[in-house]
Parts: sequence; C-alpha cells; structure tokens
Amino acid sequence: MELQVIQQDGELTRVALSGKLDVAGEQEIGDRFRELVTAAEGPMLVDLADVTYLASLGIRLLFAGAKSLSARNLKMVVINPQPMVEEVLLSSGTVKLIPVAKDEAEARRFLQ
Amino acid sequence: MPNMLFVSLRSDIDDVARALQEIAGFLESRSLPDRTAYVVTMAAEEILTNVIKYAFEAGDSHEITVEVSETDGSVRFTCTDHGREFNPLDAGPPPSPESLEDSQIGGLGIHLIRSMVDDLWYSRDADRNVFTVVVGARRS
Repeated sequence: MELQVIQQDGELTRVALSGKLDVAGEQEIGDRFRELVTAAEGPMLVDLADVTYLASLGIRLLFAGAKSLSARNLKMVVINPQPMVEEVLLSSGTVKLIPVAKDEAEARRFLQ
Repeated sequence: MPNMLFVSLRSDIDDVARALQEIAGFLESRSLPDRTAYVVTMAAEEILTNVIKYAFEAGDSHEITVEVSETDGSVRFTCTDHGREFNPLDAGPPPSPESLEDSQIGGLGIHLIRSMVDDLWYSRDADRNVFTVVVGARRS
C-alpha cells in the first residue's frame, strides 16, 4: 500500500492511495494519512483510482479523517473508485457522508 | 487444483494476515469473477478480525480454523473457533447516520458482509462458534 501526496497547501490536500487497503495496508499508510488530515488547512481529495481493495478498516480511516476535517469546517471528497470499491462505499453508506466523485471536476463541484 | 482450502491459525493479527494471504492465493487459483473473490476476501477479513477481537480475552492465543470451498463459482467460507459464544448477527444493522458527527462506525464490518454476500449463518456447536458465508451462489 502506498500513499502519494499530489498537492499539499492552503487550498487543497490531495493524496493518491494505491494497493490493498486491508489490515496490512492500513498499518502501512494509516499514520501518514492521519498526519495529513491533522495538517490540512483546506479540503482534502482522496484519489482511490489505484486502490484495489477496501473494507471496513479503510472506511473507518476515511470516516475518522472526514470527521476530523468536518470539526474544522473542512470537507473530504473521494474520487475515482474502482467498481468494487465503489460498491463497498455504497453498501456501507459512506457515500451519504463523504461525497464520491467520478473525476476531479466533479470533486471540485462538491467542494464549492 | 483442489477445490477446498483448510487453514489453521492462531488468534493474533499477524496470523490473520498470513491466513488471508493463503485464502487470496486459493481464490486466485479458482479463476473466480472479480466480485466473488473480492467479497469472500472481505468477509474473511471482517470475520477473522472480529473473532480475535471479541471471542477471546486480549493476549490469549487460541486456534481458529477456516475452510474455503468452491463449486461451480460458488464459494463457501466457514470459520470455527473455541472462543466465548459470539454471534456477530446479534448486532443488527447499525443506525443510518445523518451526519459525520453522528456516525457510529462500530458494526460496519458485519453490515458490509450482510449486504454483499448471498447467504450467511451462525451456529453454536457445543463449545464452538461456527460462522459461514456463501458468495456467488447460483441463481435459479
């Protein structure tokens, strides 16, 4: 599991995750993800295009991050999930609380 | 390739990770549809992590056994342990949160399993918890 920071400034924090966000994956990137959430001064885009697996552990990571941002009136948007990851986001109800966008243009509309 | 996998593991997170790798290898060998392999993997991870969290005292090491079998694209996963009686289906669905502030993320794993597998059941067999899920069942 890898986490790449694409943008990190006052306007936006954008991260791209890749690999399997399972028990081992969460151990690999969880702390770094939480640090980025804490440091964020603007909204956060989480690109899941290269995430091949997500279950409740990964959803908890996203939920906790979105909750922390929300306490500072900041939003999190998830973009580009693969079909199975999107089904998990839908089945878990995550999409009701964390917007899921198909691309960056749609994500930016959610952030307005 | 054999159509059944049997895995014995200890009740700790490192052994769960090893068992999940073995299960992933078995599923790959069966050339299953992506969704079936994904949902079985997810159910296995959720069930095994639940068992080590709730069926045993923290720090104790116990044996857990897993059987995975595949027939005509339908996969049956069964997890058996000798821990305290623990029926994850007793929890019921989590309340639907209306906001991030209200959200409770406990019970999310079993909710995901319920909503994505084709069948699931729990039984207490003597002193054993036996939890089974079926994914990719043939529709008639």
